[in-house]
Amino acid sequence: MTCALELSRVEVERGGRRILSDVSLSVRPGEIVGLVGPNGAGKTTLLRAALGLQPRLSGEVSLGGRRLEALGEQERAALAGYLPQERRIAWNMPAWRIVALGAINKSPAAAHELALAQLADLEIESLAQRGVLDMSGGERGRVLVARLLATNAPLLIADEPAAGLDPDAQFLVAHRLRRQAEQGVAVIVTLHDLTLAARSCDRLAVLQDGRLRLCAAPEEALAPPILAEVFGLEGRVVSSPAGAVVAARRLTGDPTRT
Amino acid sequence: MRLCALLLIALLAAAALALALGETPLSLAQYHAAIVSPGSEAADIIFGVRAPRVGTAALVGAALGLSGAVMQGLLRNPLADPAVLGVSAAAGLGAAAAIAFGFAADAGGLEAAALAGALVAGAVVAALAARLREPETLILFGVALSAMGGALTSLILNLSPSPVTANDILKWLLGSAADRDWKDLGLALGPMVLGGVLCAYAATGLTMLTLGEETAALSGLPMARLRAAAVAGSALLTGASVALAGVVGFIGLAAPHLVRGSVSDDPARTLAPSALTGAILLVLADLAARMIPTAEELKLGVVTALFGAPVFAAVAWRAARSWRA
Repeated sequence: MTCALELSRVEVERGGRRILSDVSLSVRPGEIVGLVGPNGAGKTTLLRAALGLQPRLSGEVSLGGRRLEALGEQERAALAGYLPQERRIAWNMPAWRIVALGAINKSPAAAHELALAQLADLEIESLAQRGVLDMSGGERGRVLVARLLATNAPLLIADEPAAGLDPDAQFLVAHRLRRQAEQGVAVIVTLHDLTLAARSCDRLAVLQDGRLRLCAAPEEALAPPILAEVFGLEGRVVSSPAGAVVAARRLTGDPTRT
Repeated sequence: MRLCALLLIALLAAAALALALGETPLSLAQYHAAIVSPGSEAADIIFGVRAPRVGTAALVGAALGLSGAVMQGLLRNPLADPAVLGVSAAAGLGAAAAIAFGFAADAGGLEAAALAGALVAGAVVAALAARLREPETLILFGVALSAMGGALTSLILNLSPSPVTANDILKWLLGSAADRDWKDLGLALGPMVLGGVLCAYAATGLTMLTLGEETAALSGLPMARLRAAAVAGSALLTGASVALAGVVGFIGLAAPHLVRGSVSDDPARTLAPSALTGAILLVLADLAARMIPTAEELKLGVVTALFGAPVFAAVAWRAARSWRA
């Protein structure tokens, strides 16, 4: 099976500083890969490098089995949808128009219909006509997730899709991404909430100082030694009736840290 | 587009008003004479003097309104207009240089110099825009370019040996739609139509930029080409405007602001209504310049600045909302 996204020995430098070192990672159709790691580990840079937004020092990237450099703008857009971390929207356009921008290759009527369906799917159909600057940050975040889903791309790349969302909306977004995966879409997301990551992803790629520490099933990727060494946390994944929970606290090896 | 139809009717009404009114009051009989006998004195005033003037104001207003709407969409900033990117200042510098060095005496010399100034500034901005992803940086370069153009224009004024030359330059920098004939309009029309076509081509890209540079870059649209078309188009529109009527400020800023709410903020759908609104504003501003009884006729740029500066403040106040996180 062709990988939706494949990074091979990717290296990135910015401002003379090494951001990514020797990162190899692949995402297959039908799976959700969570990208986790502390702030500054290189998660966003990895996603941007995967899309060609961030120049690489070396290494190869391919989307849908084709080299990134060989793809035209339209081909690349057809192979991958992207939700950037930056949530600023310049103008106060109605939510449905923002969502419809994800489907520019469709007719205006079809794009409108798709936009309303996506908003309904994220349970914010009542906001369809409201200007996006007249919403809360969380509502705007959901509108942008709806735009990502409207791209209908076989690979969805989402940088912090859960940021700023209430707990219910976080689970809702995770569920919608899971449904996409069940339909054969490949998904890669960055997440800070490790419990959400453990529950909603098939594999977790753990980044530490620009290196891929490991990429494995959540229980293995969040094993106590990894939590301690990468995240500075003392804890483990425990199962609860609702699903896995990462129970952890800050490491107290250093008496000044509590 | 109902809004465009309404604005077109308003523009025709404003133009009719501007033809009918002026410094020379006409009687009903004279209006009648103007229509039935083309050779009469009234016909000469209305169709020979006022009509080209109204046409100039409408054309320049439309070009500046469209140019402003494109700049604002491109830079995702409600305070952007051709002046911010230094295009107006460069066109003004071209005109000032033509007057000071005596090219203005040749037919079309001044116009060509103004257009050249705008295009050089446009090319610089386009080259920068291709390398700079963030619109804020482009605005900073625009401010620098604008200051440079203004400084060089001041230098020309400063070193100008004759007060007559300095006065001519100053008059040009204040902007005016007076004493233009149909041939002048025809000369400006070419670059303006080309600019308009480029702006229309860039329209979908402007809407996509609402979501930011990165999302736009991955939308599948040829953003580099669309961005270049937007910059070149607005530079042509601005340069041709300055060539035709001197430096007229604030139309490019105010027109998009006035129509944005009616098109639910969509940058692409702001373009045509902004052009029509710019035309209406400048026809009315020129009428005001003619009708306000002053010993020396008010210059067009002075009138638009007097009304425009408070609009600028209002836009800034409202814009604060979209700049909140």
